[in-house]
Amino acid sequence: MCNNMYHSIFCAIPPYMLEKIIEAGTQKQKEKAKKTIALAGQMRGQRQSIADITLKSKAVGGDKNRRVYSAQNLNVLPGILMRSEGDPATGDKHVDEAYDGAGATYDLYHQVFERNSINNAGMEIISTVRYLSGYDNAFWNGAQMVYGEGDEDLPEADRIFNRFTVALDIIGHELAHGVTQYEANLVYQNQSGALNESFSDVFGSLVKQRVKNQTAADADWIIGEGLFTDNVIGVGIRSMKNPGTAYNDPLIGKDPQPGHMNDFVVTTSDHGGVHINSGIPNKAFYLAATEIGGYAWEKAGKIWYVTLRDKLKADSNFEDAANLTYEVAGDLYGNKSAEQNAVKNAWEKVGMPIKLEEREGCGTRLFGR
Amino acid sequence: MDKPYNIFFERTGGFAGLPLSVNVSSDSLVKTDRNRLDALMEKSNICNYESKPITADNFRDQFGYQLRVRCDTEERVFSFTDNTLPPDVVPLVNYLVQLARWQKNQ
Ligand SMILES: [Zn+2]
Repeated sequence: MCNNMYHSIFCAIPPYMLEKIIEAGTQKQKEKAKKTIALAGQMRGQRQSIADITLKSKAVGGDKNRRVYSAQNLNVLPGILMRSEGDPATGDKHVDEAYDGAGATYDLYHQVFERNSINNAGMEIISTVRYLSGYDNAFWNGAQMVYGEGDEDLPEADRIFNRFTVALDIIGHELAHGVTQYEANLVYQNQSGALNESFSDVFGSLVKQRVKNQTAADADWIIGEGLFTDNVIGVGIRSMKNPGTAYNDPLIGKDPQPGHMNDFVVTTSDHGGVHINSGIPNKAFYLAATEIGGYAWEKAGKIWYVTLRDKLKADSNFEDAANLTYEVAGDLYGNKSAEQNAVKNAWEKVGMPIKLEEREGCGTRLFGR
Repeated sequence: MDKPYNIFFERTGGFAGLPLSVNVSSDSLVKTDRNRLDALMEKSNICNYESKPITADNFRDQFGYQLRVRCDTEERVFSFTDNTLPPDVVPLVNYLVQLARWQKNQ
């Protein structure tokens, strides 16, 4: 039971080992405690900052406009400004990766989908690195992206995560949450939440593939490659090609993602398994993109983008996503086109067949629409 | 804190979606460990927080935290996210994350 990460762990901790851990962590704990004294006021400041950014970000701009801040291991956002648009590289990997990654993501949306930033109105792209200390995560807070340092505060042998700016698709993933917020605004719960997650993985992967100039066939379709340290047996956080195979490690367990509706995971944890069941639409995108062939962002990416922008609603589910990507593929490339067939085949293979009915004189229609 | 107590801690969500949990029994700890946990518990003042349900917001990929502790005579469950985690609870959460990771490592 102690090794099963998907169950609560009810195991006693040997006191002598605890003492070692605590002694090792005492100095850090002390430092964190000191910082914490200032945090109560700063938490209020954070909310104010988010409001400020939101207001500022609404300003219309014509070009890429990035700012990267450092939280300096606190949880104050946005933090201290480290690099603005056009500034030279700082030499700080966290800052420069966040800057370059935001740039590559902006370019995908702008050059391929003709979208001007997160809100399609030139919104400033704000990133904060070095959020807290030992923070193993990256997130979107409604107004900006935030990245932790991973386990840089631990001895190398104990590290699981590298810094969260290390993988370009993580940056693309977080920024895509902003795009989704301004478009379908998929509710972050159950299937619509898993779709929200999947669209972030899709666009994150496309940013990476485009920078690497990879076709769908050449791409590895791994999300978060390089995020795990060498201490972990795994190639990344998720595999869009083979959900459930990204990692299998004694310490962190096995990748729990399904790639077919038969294996859909019913859970209340993590907003109804949004980071688990996203494997199903992820695989559908991979299958569609590889059947269409060529660069995934050109056709499959466009179908998914237009669906997100124009068709999906906040409460859309997997079935809606299947039917609407099929519909958009028909709109963009023609009914019964190779592209539309690829979308149909993809969803069928993950157990979510497109529901069609033939209506005399009306051509093909989707059920219930 | 003279009486023995248990804390159940769980962290869910995050970009990686890797859950982490630990159940700590204070009476299984040596004195220094117990004192450390007592101090963090006291500083967190956790029993004086309202246990509020997690509401919808625009945060994506943030961690969710759940702590189950005994407050006086009743067991209470507290749910937070990165956005709602009270600053005074941060050191306790960091410590519990350390314990959970250590336990997995064994
Ligand atoms: Zn996400």
